[in-house]
Amino acid sequence: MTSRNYLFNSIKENIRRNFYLFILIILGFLTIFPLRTIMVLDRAKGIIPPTDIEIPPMQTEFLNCIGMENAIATIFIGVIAVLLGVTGFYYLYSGEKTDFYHSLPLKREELFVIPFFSGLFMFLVPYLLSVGITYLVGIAYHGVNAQSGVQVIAAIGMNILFFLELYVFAILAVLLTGNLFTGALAFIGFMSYGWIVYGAYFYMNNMFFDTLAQFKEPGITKYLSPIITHLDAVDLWAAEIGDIKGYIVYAVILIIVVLAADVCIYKVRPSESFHKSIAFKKLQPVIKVCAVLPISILASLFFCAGMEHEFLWLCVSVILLSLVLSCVFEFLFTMDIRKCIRPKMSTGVILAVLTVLLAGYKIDIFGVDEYLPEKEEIETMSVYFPSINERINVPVHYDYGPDEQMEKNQTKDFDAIYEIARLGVNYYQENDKENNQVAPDYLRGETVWATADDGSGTMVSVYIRYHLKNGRTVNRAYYLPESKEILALASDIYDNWDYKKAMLPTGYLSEKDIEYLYVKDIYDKRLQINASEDVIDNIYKTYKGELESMTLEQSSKDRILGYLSVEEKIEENYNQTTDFPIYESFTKTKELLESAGQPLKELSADEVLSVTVYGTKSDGEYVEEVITDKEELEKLLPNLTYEMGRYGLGSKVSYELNMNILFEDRGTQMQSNLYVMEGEVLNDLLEKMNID
Amino acid sequence: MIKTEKLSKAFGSLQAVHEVSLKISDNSIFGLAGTNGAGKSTLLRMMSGVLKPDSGDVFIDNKPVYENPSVKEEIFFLPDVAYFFQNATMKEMVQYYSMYYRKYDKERFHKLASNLGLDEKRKISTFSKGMKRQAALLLGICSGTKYLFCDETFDGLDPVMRQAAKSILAYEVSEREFTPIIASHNLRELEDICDHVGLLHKGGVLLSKDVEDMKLHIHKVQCVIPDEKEEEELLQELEIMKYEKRLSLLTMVVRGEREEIMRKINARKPLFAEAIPLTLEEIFISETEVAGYDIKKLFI
Repeated sequence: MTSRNYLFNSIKENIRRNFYLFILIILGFLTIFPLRTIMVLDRAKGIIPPTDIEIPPMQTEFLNCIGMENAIATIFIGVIAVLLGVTGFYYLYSGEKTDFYHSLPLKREELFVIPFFSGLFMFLVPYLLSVGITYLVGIAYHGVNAQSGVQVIAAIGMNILFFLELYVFAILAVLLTGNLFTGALAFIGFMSYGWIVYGAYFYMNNMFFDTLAQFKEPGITKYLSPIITHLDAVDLWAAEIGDIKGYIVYAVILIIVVLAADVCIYKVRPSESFHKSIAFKKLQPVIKVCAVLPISILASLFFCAGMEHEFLWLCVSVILLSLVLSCVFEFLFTMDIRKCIRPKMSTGVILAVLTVLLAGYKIDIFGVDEYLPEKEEIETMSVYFPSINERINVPVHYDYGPDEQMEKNQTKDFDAIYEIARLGVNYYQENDKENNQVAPDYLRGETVWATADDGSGTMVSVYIRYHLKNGRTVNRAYYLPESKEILALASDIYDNWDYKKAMLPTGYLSEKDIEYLYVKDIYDKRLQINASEDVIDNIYKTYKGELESMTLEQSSKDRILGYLSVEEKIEENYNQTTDFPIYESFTKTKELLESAGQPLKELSADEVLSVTVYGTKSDGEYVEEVITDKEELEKLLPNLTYEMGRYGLGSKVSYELNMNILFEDRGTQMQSNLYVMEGEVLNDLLEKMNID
Repeated sequence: MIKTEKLSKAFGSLQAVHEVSLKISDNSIFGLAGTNGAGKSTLLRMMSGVLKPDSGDVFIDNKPVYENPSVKEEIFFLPDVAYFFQNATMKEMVQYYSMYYRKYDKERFHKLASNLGLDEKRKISTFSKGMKRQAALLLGICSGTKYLFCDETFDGLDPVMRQAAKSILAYEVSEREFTPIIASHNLRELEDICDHVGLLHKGGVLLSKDVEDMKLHIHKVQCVIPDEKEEEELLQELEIMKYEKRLSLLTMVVRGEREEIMRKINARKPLFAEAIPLTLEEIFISETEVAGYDIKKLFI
């Protein structure tokens, strides 16, 4: 070489030739960063800040402009990463240019380095320059505070990582293809393929398996697309709720791996690949199979969702779509309509895999729905009853979903849980297997306990988690009738202190957290307990003791008479209230409330003018009964219970009747959340109203 | 010296070059002849290290070319359609090439460009097709490389410029260690400059011979021998590659020294006898017909 610095000179020369792009990038960054910051800060100057805010608007706005929350910057960086990646290696799409570059006395690695570093330089210099100017603008406008430096450095780091991720992928897309159209498709493929495969897998499971449950997205979903991963990390950073170290490690590893792949592929990329769809002919069938399989499955699943003959539609649409997509890919590869419809081995592979896949799912070849491991294989088990856990009010700032609960209530003493799982599997084998609509989709990941669609009785939804000795965690959701056996097993589980400790809301809230305490009585009034801290602490501790010692059976029999509303301070100027149900057997709590001057009032017939009870007959006819007779009222009122916070499992509450209460003073009418407990009074009412 | 051994390259189902074995001596001008699609460009691309052969080897000065910068430093490839940077001037291209070719002769480039009337500071994109060809050729010649691979380089040059280009190449060969390899579908264009010509057809080498040698040892002769017996004896005596008789006029392509052939003819007391110079194309046609190919249709 004429100069020892020929690589440096080559990079300089490369930048010089793309100077128009360099100028555009500089202008873009100057607009997005300093110019926009000046405009925003100038506007913020006019804002009169509220006296109680921690950070002045000028500093907040400055961070919004220079930090990683600047969405315009993220988009711009993404666009120029792709643009620089493509323009740097665009010559590979041209025969003349490829001849020119590949005839130069340079190794392929050196030929790679020149456009790679040119692109990197063309991003870094304008970006860092504009961030630097923006920081000076921030100083001038008094928008900089002690945290700004950290925020700016973090934003620079994250943006560089984001640029590099997209940049190396854009280069990879160019290297693997021979024209811009397939290059663009390849890049879109890299960004979305993970999600397409995961989507196909998830929705296939959802369609075919009735007991397979998933309560949170698997960790891998965070890393299925560099763009989504970056945006997630930015959200985490902005919300200050998570650690982004994982993202940084992921991004660095991804960049290194893809960059290494870029260099290796560039070294072996045939020079004659220009104008071809795929640079490596041998990759064509692999790409076709890998792309057509998940895309055809996913698209077909969306297409046939809700169809009467869902499986049949799925089979037909998957096969048709895979054939069409196969032809499309062949056309992309050959640009020849005749060649694209010729039978190909890869199309045969696709059809064979689809057939095996659909048949495997249909007959549940791995026994997913009937999965019940041997007890010896299980380390611990956990259970979640939507009809218990989801009825509980837990302060909203605590994670209290099925996943968190089942992580907390793992037990080695899992005989009762295992027995429920066995009953669930048996019930599935006997019923659901023939009719896979018995357990609707929504039961598998979200709420719920419900009455069976066919009216055969109350059904119970149970989520089970197996923590296996081999380290695997397996989730299942069963949907089975509420039998005495189930209730007994549920009682065994509920009455265990470890389970309660993990599940009951009082385990999350200590008396120290209480800012204010209120009583919410049957009149729906929220009355504050004006007492000393000791008294309030005592009331709460007593309540906690009574709640924690209550059995499941007792909870099903007891009425809920009102609520203890606990207000806790979450942060400055933000309090959170949670209502805890007061059962009628909580005598000590009631006594303490009374002595604190806020007794829990019960409905009295003297204060009630009438109760309008209404319901629906089995034939759909609406029926209404107005009760005004004091004697009848005296019988009815002690049988009413609040519903909110009540466990559904084994509930002795009838949901067949609703009621409106009209009080004597006629000033208040209550469309109540009250329901009648099962028993003689309910039976009499149903008989009187001719409801079966 | 350039040596290829059973060099093959296919593009999909198309076999562009098939087991080509060639030897190109240094300090000669080698012509690579062949019809369109014969594999000339592919062969040049492989020899210049642009394409990787599917099989076989290319050695330049006994070293493999592909991914070997030290060898490629001695090669300059002028493709059929030369590439120049967008909006680049010749001066900028010289600057660029001189980063990679350490023997780049800027002075010589300046002199040649001036002689040919090419403005170094004018954008190449504004040049005519012929001027671009000249520019590319000058850029290649001045790279100082030992080998210059020219693919259809004379295409689009006017006759004067073509002659000038040939003169420059001949001058370079005479002045320094320089071996141009010129691929062309036009044998007439090669014959007055090349020392050695290889003929490619359907990806393979039909023949590769020294031009002077061919011209000295193959002759076209026309004669009229009155005695049929004498004529038959003459035909036996000469090494005839091609023979045609119209009425009494014998037209032959004969291998051998001119004087020797004429002596043998004159000994048969011809009514008329003359040796006509053969064009390279005619020599090739004769040679390839001897080799069993009907080459006429390749060039007609």
